[in-house]
Amino acid sequence: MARELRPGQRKYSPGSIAADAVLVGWFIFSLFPLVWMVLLSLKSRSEQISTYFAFTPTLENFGTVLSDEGTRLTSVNFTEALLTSVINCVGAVIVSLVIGIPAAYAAGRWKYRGSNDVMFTILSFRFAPELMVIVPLFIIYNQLGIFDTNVGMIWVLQLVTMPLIVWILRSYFQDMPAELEQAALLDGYSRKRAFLMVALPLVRPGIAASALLAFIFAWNNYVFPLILTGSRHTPVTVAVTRFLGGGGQAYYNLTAAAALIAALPPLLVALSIQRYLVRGLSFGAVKS
Amino acid sequence: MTLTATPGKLERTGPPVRAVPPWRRKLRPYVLSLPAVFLIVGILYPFGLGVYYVFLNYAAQVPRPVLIGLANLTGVLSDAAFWNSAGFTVLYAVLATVIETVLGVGIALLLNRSSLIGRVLERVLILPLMIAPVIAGVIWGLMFNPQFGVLNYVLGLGSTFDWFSESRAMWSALLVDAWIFTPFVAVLVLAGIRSLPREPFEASEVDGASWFTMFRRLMLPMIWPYILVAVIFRFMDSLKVFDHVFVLTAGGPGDATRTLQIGAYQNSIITFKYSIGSTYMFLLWVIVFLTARYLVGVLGKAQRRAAGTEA
Amino acid sequence: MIRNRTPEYARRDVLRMLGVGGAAVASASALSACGLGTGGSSASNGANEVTGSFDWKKAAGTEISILQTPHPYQVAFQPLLAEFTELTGITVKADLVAEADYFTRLNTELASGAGNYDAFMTGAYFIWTYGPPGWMEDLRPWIDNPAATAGEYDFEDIYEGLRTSTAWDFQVGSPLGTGGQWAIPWGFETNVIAYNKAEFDRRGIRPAETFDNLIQLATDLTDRSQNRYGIAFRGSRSWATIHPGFMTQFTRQGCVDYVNEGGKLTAQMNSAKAVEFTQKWVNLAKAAGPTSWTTYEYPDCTGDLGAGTAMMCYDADSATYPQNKQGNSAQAGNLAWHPGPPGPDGKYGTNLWTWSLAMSSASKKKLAAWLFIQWATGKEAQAKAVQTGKLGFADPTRKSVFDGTFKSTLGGFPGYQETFEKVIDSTSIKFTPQTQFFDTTEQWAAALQDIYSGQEAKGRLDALAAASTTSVNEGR
Repeated sequence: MARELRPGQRKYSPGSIAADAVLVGWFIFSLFPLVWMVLLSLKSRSEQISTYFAFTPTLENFGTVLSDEGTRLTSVNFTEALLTSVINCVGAVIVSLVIGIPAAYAAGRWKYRGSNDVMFTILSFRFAPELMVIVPLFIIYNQLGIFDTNVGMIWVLQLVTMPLIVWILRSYFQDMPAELEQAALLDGYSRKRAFLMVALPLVRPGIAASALLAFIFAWNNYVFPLILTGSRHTPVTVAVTRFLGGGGQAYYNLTAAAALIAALPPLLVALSIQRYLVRGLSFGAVKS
Repeated sequence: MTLTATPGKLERTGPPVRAVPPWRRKLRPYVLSLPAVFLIVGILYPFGLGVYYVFLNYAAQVPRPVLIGLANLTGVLSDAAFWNSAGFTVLYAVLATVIETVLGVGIALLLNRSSLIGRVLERVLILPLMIAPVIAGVIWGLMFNPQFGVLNYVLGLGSTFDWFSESRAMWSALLVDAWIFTPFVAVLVLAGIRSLPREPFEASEVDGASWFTMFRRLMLPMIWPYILVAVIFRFMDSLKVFDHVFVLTAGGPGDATRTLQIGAYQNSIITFKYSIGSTYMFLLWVIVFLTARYLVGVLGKAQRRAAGTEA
Repeated sequence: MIRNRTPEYARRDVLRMLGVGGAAVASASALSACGLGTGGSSASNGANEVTGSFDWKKAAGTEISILQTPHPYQVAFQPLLAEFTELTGITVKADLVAEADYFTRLNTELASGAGNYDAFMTGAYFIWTYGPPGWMEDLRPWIDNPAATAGEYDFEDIYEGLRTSTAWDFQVGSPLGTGGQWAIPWGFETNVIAYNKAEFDRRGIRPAETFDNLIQLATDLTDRSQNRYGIAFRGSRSWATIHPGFMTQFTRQGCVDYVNEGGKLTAQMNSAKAVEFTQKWVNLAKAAGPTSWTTYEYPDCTGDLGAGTAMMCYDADSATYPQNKQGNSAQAGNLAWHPGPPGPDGKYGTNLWTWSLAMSSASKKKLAAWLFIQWATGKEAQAKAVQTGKLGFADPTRKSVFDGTFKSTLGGFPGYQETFEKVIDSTSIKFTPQTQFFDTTEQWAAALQDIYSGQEAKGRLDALAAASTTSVNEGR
């Protein structure tokens, strides 16, 4: 079936082969490091840096990472670290949704004094240099007793998840025709019910996409948990670097295996929400 | 900062509501925003503390920090090492943004041709962006090693090609930067291209315009706002680049790749001069803030112009 | 300013720092910071509170937290912690942070005065920074208190160079070994040459006995087309580049970092000898060192040795040691050790690194923390760690353990023991202690990189020396 051409598209031409070749080139570049990481994760310790492509593959590294052997090497239980990451990131996203949806709704629905200030302050978190807050934050966390706790991580991850969720959802609420809600109100719905039954379901794709994207970025964060967690609530990004070891011992193969496991959740989530990624990545600025 | 390419939708008035006194209606957005405001305060507090450090002589070597006014600011601003860092940071950010924008737009255009290959590859385009930067840094560091790394082997560069010599270190860091972030530009621009109306292009094709003319005269102005959004994000993020550059070079050789965040890290965390580190961060924050203001203004103009083109 | 840096002000100062933001929430940790002995300077050390006769069970029922980095020492001790709990009734919760991030965490931890950790691993250089603000407990009163320390502890059994390396009075210009005992050496390393003996034997050559011969030998062994080079040593932009091979050979060639002139330090990195040596060292890196030398840290160096890419490695003996263990590297079983070339005077001055155990002055469980440190640095536990440590335990800090248990494990490690014995008496910290160590030493590494990139050595080192002199004396 011949697809209708989109702007800028052409039917077959000699140039298209060259174009495809360029594309393939980019994707080799783009995927090679990932392939290399997979290869490295399949190497034994004595082959980790002395071989390139010819080696005896083994799945042992994955077993080591997830077993007590890995815990013994790093003193972090990797399975628990995965769980911690899930709790932290899901928790952070839920908090951001609960707090962010009303704010996004208010900002998307009405123009009110100070609305821009609130929105821009939230956005500025996205561009604030992390190092600026880390020393003060560490001191405050110790005062409050939330160092190395899930609560502490969920709080600080708001810097990551909140701007994303509020800005994306605001753009969805802006797009929603106000008439629908008005109709519901005329039908005798309360203001609250109109919001819950009409507005919220309409932005459901936005909620899902922003929540999942926020989850990815929270998952990938490194600096905050590095400073603000100990060994009880270590998330995976930090757990991965533990395999780099110390004292002359570098377990590159284990690091690669751990990195691969740690990278799977965000990669799978990313592939599942691809349709909505653009709007999310641009904080709702680009609506595709 | 409504960055839509679609015009209109300027003022939105609240739907008329029955039997609710006006003062309550007026209050409603504030009530809804209140939890967010509380959260903001909770996050601004440590930030404010960080700014306060700028005016102290807080360091491990100074057991009792006292207010010293602007001494840190004047000290840092008169330090050649800071200006070296600031200059490099801006250069890096400009280069990263330009390279990634050009590559990203190019890839978006190629993917838009929608060949079978393109459709398959598009699905995995985003993967590097979704890997934790610290992991990306570690993997690239291993690949760059001239002795056992795979790059020199695959590219046939032998064991003497140094990716981190003084003249190449920045470009190697940029290579990794482009690897991670070019997909970001590409997906944004691709979305922009796909949202364009067909008619003007069909008309121009009938007129027999060349592809380049069509791109230059028709498409570029229309997708310009999308490109600008990508540029804003990339430029501001690049100004505070840290993760992968630090993992790869630690700011070296010499001071060749010492970005402002690396400088701040070295001052705060390695040498315990928290106030000097905070001063670096504060100045970086000022630069980011001013740049953001300017770029958002440019974007607003571009959007209005694009809207005009489309109408 | 320097006179103000006495530790006894520490607690109040930490409190003041915490109050910096308004201290609306000065609760838990602030109280903990002043909970113990807020009185005068003598009361701040917890050792006086321990009286009576010594008993391992004295702090039974306590749980302590320790901060560690993954390391063969830590790996060796992890399984032994259960025995400690059995002995003392104290449970130990060990937090681990990867080495690259370890000091980031430790710094932030100590600076906050939070007291999350009762004891922690630290290097000797860190004492120079952590000590003056009063973050560390002086362990000397603990060692001297028979109520707190078992009679058989035998502190003097620890090598002297190590004991003095972890003691200082924080007065710029004072030598090491004066003042408090801020940490107890737990494991340590000397910086010597490990080489690929199989390859050396095949060619019928021997390690070099002068620095110039080392340069020649390393250059001859280098064949880039075969991806083989002569000698690996660190070059990354970090203070850690200076302290192993570089500082060792720097010292052996008769150079010093600072001279003390009436309480004022003057940097000597630009002395004629130092310039000559530095230029040679950088040339060695170019001619026979790793490509991308400016990114090289020790896992890269020891990895290249183990992979057979580097023929020699001038770094910590304990870091090259695991490469010779079967299954750890391609060259396992082929490696041997040599002290490296002595100086023109025939002396083997060698810089050391020691992982030590220190106590946080903000700890609320000082007795339990001390019992842990005492146990971990004691003869029995160290001997056991040497025997059972999965990655080995090189090198033990106690002479009795080295001579007793450790030697018997060195069968497959040719030259290791001979090398150790040759350098141990001249092994100590060769840096002049000063509070700006990390800043000035990182600048030193940056200067080496600049020279490597082509800058003229004398001029660059002049600039480095001038900046360092200012920095160490003004505390900027």
